[in-house]
Amino acid sequence: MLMSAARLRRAVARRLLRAAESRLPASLVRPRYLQHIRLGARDLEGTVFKLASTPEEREGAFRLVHDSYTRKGLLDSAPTGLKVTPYDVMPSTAIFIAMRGGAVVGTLSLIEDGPLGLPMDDVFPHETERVRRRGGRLAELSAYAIDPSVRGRATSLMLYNLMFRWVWWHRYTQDIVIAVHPRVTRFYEVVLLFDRLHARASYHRFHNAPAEALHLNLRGIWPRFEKLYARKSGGLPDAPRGDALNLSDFFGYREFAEIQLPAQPEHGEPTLPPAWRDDEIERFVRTRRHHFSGLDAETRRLLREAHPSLTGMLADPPRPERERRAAAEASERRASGTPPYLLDTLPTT
Amino acid sequence: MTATAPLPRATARPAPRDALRAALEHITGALYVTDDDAALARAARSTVPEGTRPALIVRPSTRDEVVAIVCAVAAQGGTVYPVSGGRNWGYSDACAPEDGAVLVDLSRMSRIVEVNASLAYAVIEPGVTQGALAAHLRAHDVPLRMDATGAGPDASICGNVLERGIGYGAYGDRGAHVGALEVVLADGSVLETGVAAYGGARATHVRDAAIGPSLDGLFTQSGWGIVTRLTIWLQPEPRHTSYLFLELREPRSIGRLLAALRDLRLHGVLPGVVHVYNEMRLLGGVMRRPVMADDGTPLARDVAMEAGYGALTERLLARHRLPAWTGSAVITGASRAEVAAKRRAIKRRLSRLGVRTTVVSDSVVATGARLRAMLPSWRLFDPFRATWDRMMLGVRLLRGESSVQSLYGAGWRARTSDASGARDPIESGAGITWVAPLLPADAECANEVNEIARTVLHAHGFEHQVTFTLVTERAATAVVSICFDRADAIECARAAACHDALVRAFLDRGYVPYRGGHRAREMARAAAPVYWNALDRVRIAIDPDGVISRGR
Repeated sequence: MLMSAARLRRAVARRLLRAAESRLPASLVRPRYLQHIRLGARDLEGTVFKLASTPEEREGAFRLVHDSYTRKGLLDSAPTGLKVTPYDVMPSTAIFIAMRGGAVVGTLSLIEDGPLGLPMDDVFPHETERVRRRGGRLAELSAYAIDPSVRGRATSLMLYNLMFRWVWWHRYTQDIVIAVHPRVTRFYEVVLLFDRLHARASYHRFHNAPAEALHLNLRGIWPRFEKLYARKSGGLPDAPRGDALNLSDFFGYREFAEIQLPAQPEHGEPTLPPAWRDDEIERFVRTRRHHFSGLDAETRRLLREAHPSLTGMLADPPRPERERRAAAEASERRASGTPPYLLDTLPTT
Repeated sequence: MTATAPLPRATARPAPRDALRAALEHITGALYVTDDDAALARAARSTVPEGTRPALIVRPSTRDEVVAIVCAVAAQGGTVYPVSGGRNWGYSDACAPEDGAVLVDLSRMSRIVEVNASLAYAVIEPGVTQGALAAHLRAHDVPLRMDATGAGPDASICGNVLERGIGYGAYGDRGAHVGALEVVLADGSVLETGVAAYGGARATHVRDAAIGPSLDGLFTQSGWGIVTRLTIWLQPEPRHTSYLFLELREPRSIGRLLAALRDLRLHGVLPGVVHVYNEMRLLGGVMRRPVMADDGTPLARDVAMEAGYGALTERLLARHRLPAWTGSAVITGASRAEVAAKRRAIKRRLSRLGVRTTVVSDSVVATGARLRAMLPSWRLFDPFRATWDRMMLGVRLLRGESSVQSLYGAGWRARTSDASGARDPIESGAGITWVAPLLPADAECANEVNEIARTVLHAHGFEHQVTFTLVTERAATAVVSICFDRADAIECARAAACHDALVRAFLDRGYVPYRGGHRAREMARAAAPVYWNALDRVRIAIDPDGVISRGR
């Protein structure tokens, strides 16, 4: 279908505006972005924002990500209808969800750096390593998806709110990285104060979709938030005219009945996300083998370490005969006490 | 094949460490001697910026084994460093002043030798912990109360007494309530101090000195001998007890508050130690420092306003309902009327300063605890639960039940480890070093000490965290906390610099620390050369080769 002249003009104007904006300093662009951020009391009605803690909630989140990514052409449809990676079942991964009418309508994951590394290491290894070298807790934001039925209802903003509360008061995360489509880079940069890591790449796992690496240094970010946002008129949650948000208040202090985070430990010790029960993880992996079949030995080992109940299911496959024989010989040499480097040089007669 | 003569074997003479290890194994059994890398590295960890690594760790179970260990180490020219429980947190922990010492861990010597209910004392070995003695008294229904400190149930009583720790009750000045020390000296001889020196003396356990000078003090904060037994005096359970909690909103009124508390103690209204914590000290006990404020600027209501943290600090303090100063003390009496009269006197004196007081009796505590258990887990009751639980922490300490309360704040900046630091700050990566100057309990000095602490801490990027403790009727101490993240090398260096600057600033103004780690002791030594030279001469007389605690 041909685009009407008016629509074409609007599309071109939008593109030009975006191109111009990307070259302007964030301070000039910020007011325009903030104009669009609104949150009225009705936006939150009937929605609960929490950490996924049951198998149904987790599966709801995995399904939403799968559907959203396949719809956007980033992913081929999986037989299970879920998008699951080993990172998703690690104990330190927090899966934030928005629940409405018993269904997951929004999700966002925070994957902490650990022995498995971060998903971004695949595409931006140098950038993540640069951040990692600073020391402290590092995590990657990933698996963001919103159900089309709640788009424009501030669900994503509330998920970010939940995430900020989690990293500030529960995990003490110091650095967050994220790989985003270049189209939305400016939002993260201007509103959430991420910095560009000046790296773009094609995400091979997502049909070579373009991605840009961003980094948010949370150390000492508070004065920046206060400076930029504290003076904005805030009217949450009853803003009759949908005033622009006071984001420092929004992310930092304001109490929302809709946000349900675990109680903070008595003395402020770091909190871990709700853990998978042994029977839950076992059932999940057994019924979703598809997602765990092609894992390398190290990933399998780390998963077994995190969930000992998976030991049987994620055991190393039997080694090929030749490899097995070499290992047996090596063990024999060790037992005989002959240094292996001498075996080849010793006379055989 | 040509036959070749075998190479001569290396001389069988073992290295000194191996010989020492063999000698120690002979004394205690191999199970209780270790030079395993992991164990030594573990012993070298410290909550203060720098730790030292021992060469060996040995765990004797009797006095005779301690004597044999000292002789064996002395014969090799080595040095031993005794630790009772190794929980001298914030003051060098279990670390000797120098690397390479033989760490004598006395935790296996954990016998409660005697408890005398009528004369109210207990004879204990160094491995007896606060938790163990309290449990023993409870289990045997002994109507005596042990004074507890905030170092937790696993902390050794003997270790804390010998470092002149301060508790919470009427016997809170712990060093003043002990006697009859049994000490193993560097030459392997065993010394009994005070009345105990006269074998079979009837008053051995009830008085710390007989005719002649007293030697007890020589073995506190010195490590000049290994104390293998001591007598600690216990307080009879009071007939009636109430617990006083006070809140002061005005940050600059700490001087006047301390002076008022002094008057109440001098007149016998308050029977024991009183602790007063500032808001940032208590905030450190209920949460970790927010990462979003990590840029080297301290969190404070006032000074950091321009940096954007003023509002954040206000919000955090309001969220946890923390006034500028919070204090606790015990009120005891032979009758209800006596306790009530004391309570009225306290309220009258403190209300003039704008201090809000809450007094709860034992019966209120019991009823409140029942109510607390019955409350449904609705969020509506969260504030009540939080306030009640915090008050109960204080009540438990005032009752002589050991608690790790003082350690909660140590984790203020330790956010990189998921390990709980509730019982052991080392496990959670917490860094803490305390500077504890002594001061007369008057308003002017308290204000000055508070101001010095605030200025120096802020200048080094640390929060102003301080506790004032009225130790006796006349003397107080300010315990200034420097909390840091041990995983952050820059912050560790900043903490060490801040510690030195604080000790120096206090010494310059005449406030001498009552206690300190190895570093603070070195600085105090420089400030009083005549006194420390005299001590050196005494030390040389007792232990000329520095066999025990060399360098301390």
